[in-house]
Amino acid sequence: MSYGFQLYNALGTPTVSQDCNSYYVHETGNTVPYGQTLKTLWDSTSTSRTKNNTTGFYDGYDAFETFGNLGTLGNTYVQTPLGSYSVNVLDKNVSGLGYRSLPDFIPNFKNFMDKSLLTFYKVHQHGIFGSQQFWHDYPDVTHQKQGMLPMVWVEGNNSIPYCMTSTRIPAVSGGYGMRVFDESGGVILDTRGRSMSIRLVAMLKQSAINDILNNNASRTITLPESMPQAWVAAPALASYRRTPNTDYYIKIKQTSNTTITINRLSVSTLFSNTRSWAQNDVPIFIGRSF
Amino acid sequence: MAVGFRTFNSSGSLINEINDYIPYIVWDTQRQYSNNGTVSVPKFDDTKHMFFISLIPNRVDRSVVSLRENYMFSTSRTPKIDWNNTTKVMTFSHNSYPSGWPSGENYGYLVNVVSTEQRIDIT
Repeated sequence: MSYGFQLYNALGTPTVSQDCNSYYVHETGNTVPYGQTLKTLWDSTSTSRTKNNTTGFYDGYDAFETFGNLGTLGNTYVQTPLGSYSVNVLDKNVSGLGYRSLPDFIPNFKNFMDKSLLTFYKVHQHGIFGSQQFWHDYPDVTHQKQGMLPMVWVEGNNSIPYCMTSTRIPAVSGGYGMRVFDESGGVILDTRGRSMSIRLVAMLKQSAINDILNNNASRTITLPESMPQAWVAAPALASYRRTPNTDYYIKIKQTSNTTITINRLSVSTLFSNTRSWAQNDVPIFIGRSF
Repeated sequence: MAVGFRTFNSSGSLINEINDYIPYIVWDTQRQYSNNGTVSVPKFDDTKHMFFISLIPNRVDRSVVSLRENYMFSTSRTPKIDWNNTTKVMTFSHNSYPSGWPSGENYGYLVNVVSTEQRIDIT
């Protein structure tokens, strides 16, 4: 930096500089389990959708190979921030075959997010065992053309708090505060917007993923301070292993004010095959609650 | 708080407490699954940064009556990304899925390189 303003933390790392935009809080709420009423991306004029009049998203995306085998029985609908109608999707217990739990979505969010999206979740009551973000870029879609959609898989298909953040500065108000500009005049900090206080970034290595999935091992993250109801983001958590009649996933859960536990979640299935999907390293971002 | 600074709103409520590590986007790109090739990313240092991908579901054909497939996520191939931290070159290719995986259409993906300078590795 040739001029300007930088702020360093106690470890000597810049926390405010031209390269370090804050992750601003855009929206908070509670996730909606699959099977409840959602809106579709498709357009704002359609009426009720059913499995026989499908629109929206096919639910068998391969990154998770989640429930593709449900075929036409399962169709996932993804809500958008616009549009006023709703749809009914299939019940999560479709076919009763003991398929893995289905994902939660963010309900009716107002901020269709940009590429820097990081969605945090509170995992102190229910762990998460999958988390993905999908970028949508459809110029001819009627009312929402582009943006990032988060999905999360929650232990027991429960609803959990979410917090959507990005480096984009949200709409702010008020006449005082502080702004920091980069060399081009762009605002890199506006203290009128709330930032996520990210206290820790962990990288779950592939070796640990394999150990957890294959050997029922566990790992812990010790937080640098007491952080009750911490926010946890894992935007690429999608590893799993299938053995006959049981699927295994990586579960992240806060088990004390200072501990995040990562271990294996088992789901009974009727599948008789063997399959695994192990990612490379998975980033985990942990922020202080607010 | 021993270091850093805090900002408050007019009601005296804490809005920001900036003493933390703030990750940032080092670099990002958007690719189609079949778009093989190499890209130089001089900013990327895998001792300080890492990347993850977000899939881009592919709209295949909007005209058909049944739109289920229109936004399907690919199940036919998966991207393969190799990074050489010495040459700072990222290589994109794709692998076929193993036998037995369901097949489908193609898709794109978004690569986000994020700073993780104070990360802890869980091995």
